[in-house]
Amino acid sequence: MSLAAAPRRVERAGSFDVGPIFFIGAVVVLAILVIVPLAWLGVISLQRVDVGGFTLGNYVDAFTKSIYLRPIINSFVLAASVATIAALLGTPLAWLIARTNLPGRKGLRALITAAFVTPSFIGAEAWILLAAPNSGWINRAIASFTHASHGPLNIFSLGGAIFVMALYNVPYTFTFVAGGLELLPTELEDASSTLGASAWRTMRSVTLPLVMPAIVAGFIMSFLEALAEFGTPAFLLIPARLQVVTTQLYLFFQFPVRTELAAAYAMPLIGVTLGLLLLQRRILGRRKYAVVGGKGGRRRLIDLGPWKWPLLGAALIVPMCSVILPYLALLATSLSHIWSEGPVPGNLTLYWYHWAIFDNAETRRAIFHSLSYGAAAATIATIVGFLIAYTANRRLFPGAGILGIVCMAPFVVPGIVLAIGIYAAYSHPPLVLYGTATILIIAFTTRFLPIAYSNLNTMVAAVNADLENAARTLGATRLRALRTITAPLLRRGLLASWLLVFIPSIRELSSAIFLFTPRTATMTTQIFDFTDAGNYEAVATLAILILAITIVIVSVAYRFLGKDFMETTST
Amino acid sequence: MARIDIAGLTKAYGKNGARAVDAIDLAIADGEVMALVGPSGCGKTTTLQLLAGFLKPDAGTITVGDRVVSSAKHVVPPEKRRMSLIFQSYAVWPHKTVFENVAYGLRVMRLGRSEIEDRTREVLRSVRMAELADRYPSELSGGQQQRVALARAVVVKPETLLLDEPLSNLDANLREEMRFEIRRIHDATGITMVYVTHDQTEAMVAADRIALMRAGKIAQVGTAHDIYEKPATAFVATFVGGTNTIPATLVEPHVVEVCGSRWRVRDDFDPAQRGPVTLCVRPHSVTFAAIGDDAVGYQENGHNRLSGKVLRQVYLGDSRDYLIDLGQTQIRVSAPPSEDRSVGSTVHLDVAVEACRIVPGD
Amino acid sequence: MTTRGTFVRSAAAVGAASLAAGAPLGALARRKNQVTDADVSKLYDAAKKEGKVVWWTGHYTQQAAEKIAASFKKKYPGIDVELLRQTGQVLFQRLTQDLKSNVHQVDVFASTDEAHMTILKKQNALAQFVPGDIDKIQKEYQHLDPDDTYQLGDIALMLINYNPKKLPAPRHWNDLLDPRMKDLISMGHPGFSGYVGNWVVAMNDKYGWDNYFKKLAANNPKIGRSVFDCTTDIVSGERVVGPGADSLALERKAGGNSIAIAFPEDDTILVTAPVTVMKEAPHPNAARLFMNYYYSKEYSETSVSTFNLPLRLDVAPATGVRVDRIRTYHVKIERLLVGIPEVTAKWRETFNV
Repeated sequence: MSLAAAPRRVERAGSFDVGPIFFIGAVVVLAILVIVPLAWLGVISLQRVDVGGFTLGNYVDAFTKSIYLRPIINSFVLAASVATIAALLGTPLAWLIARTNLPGRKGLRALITAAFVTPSFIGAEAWILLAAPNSGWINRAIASFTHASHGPLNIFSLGGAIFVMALYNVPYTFTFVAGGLELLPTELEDASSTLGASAWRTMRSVTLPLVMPAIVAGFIMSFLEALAEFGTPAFLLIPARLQVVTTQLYLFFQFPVRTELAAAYAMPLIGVTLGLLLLQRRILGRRKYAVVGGKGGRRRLIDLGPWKWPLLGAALIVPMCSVILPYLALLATSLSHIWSEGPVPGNLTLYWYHWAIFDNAETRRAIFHSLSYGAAAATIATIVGFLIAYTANRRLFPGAGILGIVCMAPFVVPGIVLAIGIYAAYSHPPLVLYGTATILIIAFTTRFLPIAYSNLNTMVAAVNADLENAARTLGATRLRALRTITAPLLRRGLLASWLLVFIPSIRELSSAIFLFTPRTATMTTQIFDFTDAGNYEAVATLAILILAITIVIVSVAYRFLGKDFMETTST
Repeated sequence: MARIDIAGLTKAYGKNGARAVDAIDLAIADGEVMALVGPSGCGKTTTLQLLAGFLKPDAGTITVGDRVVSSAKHVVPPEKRRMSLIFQSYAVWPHKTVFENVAYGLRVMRLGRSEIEDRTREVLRSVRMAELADRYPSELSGGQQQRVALARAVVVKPETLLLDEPLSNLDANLREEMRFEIRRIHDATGITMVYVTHDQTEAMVAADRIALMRAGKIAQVGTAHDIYEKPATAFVATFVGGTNTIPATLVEPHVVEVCGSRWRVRDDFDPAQRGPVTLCVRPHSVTFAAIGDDAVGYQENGHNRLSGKVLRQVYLGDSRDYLIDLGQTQIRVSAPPSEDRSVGSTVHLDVAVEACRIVPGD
Repeated sequence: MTTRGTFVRSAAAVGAASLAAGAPLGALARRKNQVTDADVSKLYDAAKKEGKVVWWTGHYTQQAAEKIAASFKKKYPGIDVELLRQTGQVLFQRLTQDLKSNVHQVDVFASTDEAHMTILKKQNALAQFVPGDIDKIQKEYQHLDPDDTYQLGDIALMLINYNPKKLPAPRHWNDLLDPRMKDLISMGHPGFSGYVGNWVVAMNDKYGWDNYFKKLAANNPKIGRSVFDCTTDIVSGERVVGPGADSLALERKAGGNSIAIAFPEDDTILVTAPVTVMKEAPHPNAARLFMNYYYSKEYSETSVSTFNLPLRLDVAPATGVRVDRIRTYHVKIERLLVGIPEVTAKWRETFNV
């Protein structure tokens, strides 16, 4: 057979390019998810209550009354403290685990991952069981020891809230810094020591500055999370007589509902978040700290010598407080008839598990909802994120990069504020979604789209465009090339992105709390309801169930994807 | 097979940016191998991307046969241009076997299973990759991957084959082999080929004609012989083959004043033109004259004579490389290894008038 | 009657025309729209054809509501009960949105706030209906709405919860101001809980803010969100006493916990909540049958079995103490609408949260 060129071919009938439709579809979905709610939020904040018409009165009200200003200050103090402590705890932990021969490193990593998947408000509940001033088990134990009237710990305090929130924010700093340290070749540090610097000095003047971008990224992440947190402040700070912005927003939604005031109150939160992210870019932009690409250099672990065991003990304190003690407390409570009597023989029972899984249709439905909404949100976010990442990366049309920014926009909006925007946008004709599963799925998708997008963006950028272009020169349309070449190559990344949306969706409370109704309750809203009714046993049982499901899913993921899929990319 | 006509093709960086490709015209004959050569940033890759349809021109047109495939208004998308592309990075898909890589284009064309099977196996045989059909690219060497890319590109019987630095990532002996492979395919199929490279030797070996590009414009188009022997500018002269460039002044037709003496040169400009020009002399066209004669400038024996001092010499095995100081300028001389002059000694050099070319003062 | 805390509403109370003194109508005189026994069997026949009734209630816990639904189905087989149970505010939001979109899916709506009914009545969304046994409930609440667009659906009491092992039974609300109560009190928050809001308005109106709450603040009470936080804290041992509802405390007591309720001599605060049939109910006959059932003996008995108060006076409550036999104070709806925001603001100043 000769390889002579064939005569010119007739174009195949019916082979019109569906590609543009998909991309336009992704853009439309993006608009629904992100642009409309945020726009509504802005519009509503300027509306007169009930009457309609424009006014700046909401902003005046929101920011001149001292009862509204105090929560703002409280929020910032809380967020700054949480972020600082999380960074102070996370950085040495990361160094110990990523750079030294600390025994049990693998186990510690697993424990830190367990902290990552634990919703902070469940941790708060557990710590109430442990450290409520009179009834907390730790306090009771200490009190009976010292014969005092009550124990020394009071979880219902600013310190208590900072403690709990910091514990569950440590994973952020840890992940970023550990990731950064792992890519740092040892040669850089060797250079310092050959010049005579001690290990400590090397750490301080070489290692630390080089991972500073990661520390800053972790700090900012923790700050934003703490600013947007609703559950823990609701549980721990109200008794401490401290309102924060999120609980205040919640109050605005009680009768009489003042959406307009809430919207005005919420807007600056967006401004602050945006400002912080820009600041981060500025701080990090000036010094070129390209984390040395790929797996840099040989990595020799630092020998801790005799300090191994004491440092292990110190390192264990964090997971002890964030995972071991709380999970034990929850487990014990879930197995008790009456939790206040403690996990003593005679009080032990499997009743609550039976009730949650078999008897209580509500709870079963809530579990199902959590999983299905999470799955739906993860799927939509991954697809949209992928298409947009592709569109932006390959510059399908001028200004495509803006789509990337829109995808990241929800990142600057605290969950509870986003929920308000979504509520405002989709609670009246023509699109009434309030009370449906759809609105919750929209909330979760929007909230976590930035994670999926930034992850996929990095991955798409790493795929050489030549690979797709080669397919196109062979007659494949862009969409076909995307489907047969790019997507299969990114299989692992797509799955990782899916999980990175699924897991936070399961533990999401602050946006769900506004948008759910009994028919669409999730596990987290159920837990919240049960705490209000004081049914701690049910709370603990559900909490253990959520944790168990999440840990199973994460373990399976680890098996298939390797240990580094949880490393969220820094913005 | 197709003839390609590029007319006034322009592409700028950004809005008011510099032009990557600046209103170039090029005609490529049906079945020709045309090389686009030039230093990095000269616009050759951008031209190839425009040819392939990945970029839209800001002005100008690209016509294949009798249809306009690219213009400022409309670009036929790559999948409809029937131009295969061989990439510098091979772009062989890591998640598909060799067979699946090559069969891809045929599958897109919706051919029958047995036809796909047959054609794929045949082309794999022709590039000697048949036994490796079930391997994955990660199991292949660079040369093997490039052969897969070649097979994949030609199995669909394209009208044109575009090659973007296809050999840069290969080591020296593989390059030799692949050059042969590419040429063989061309000879067997008569496909029109456009070959981008920064290596002028490669261009001279592989192509029928060479288009030398610089800063977005075509400096010269011609056969290797044309370009080497009759460079149009000093840039062309120095790019292909390496040459000495000596500033001179044209005082009469065929006569320049250089280094204080008069030389005869080969080229003819506009007989009325005078003024600064650049004199190009290839290093190996300069020979050492017998020591003794002191005269410089044009000698009536068809040679120009010059004298200078040896600044440096390097023994390279099959030649000696000299750097000679002529007073106002320095030149390189490539002499047979037996010519051994010591550093610092004064030497006389002869260069034939035929080897003295002038190009416009650059 | 118990309500989950999360979205528990503030402005809830029946205020309307109280005909406690000098009711112009005799107890046996029929009101317009009041149902007769003959009507009931006609309703039942028609309801069977409709097949089900959609009931939205904020009054009970899920389990309690399911029990009521089951008891209805037992009395009236052939009619399914589609139950939606959530806090009043959430239900109200959904209902208003449905009405805006002209969606009519609710038959019987039992909110926790009479204020909701005021709004719905203005929108002309409510049907007029009077259950046949309306005269079996406490006289004061037989005419919540002069136009009979809604009736009493539920009663709850705010009284004192305490741990009998740690404290003798308190007798007055003022007992909570005693310095010996320092660090022992737990309560909810009027901004988060309608019941707590109701109680705060009552205390404010009875004693004045400074006399009551400023002094209460000196005792460092633990402040939570829901009306049940007090009960929960007593059960857990975290605190010892506080203003709370009756139902959850009774339930916990029956479960063996160390908790009891006390009826203050300076008035138990009585909170009322309404129930209505929607005008555009998709199953109008079943709706009326169901609302009529509210006033039946079976309904009241089922309520009692879940530690809620019976509507009917001829059914004994769990405590054995009939509601009309204790000293109660009831905040009128007009007062509540204004009072709750007012006291919430004062609360923020006094308690800082």
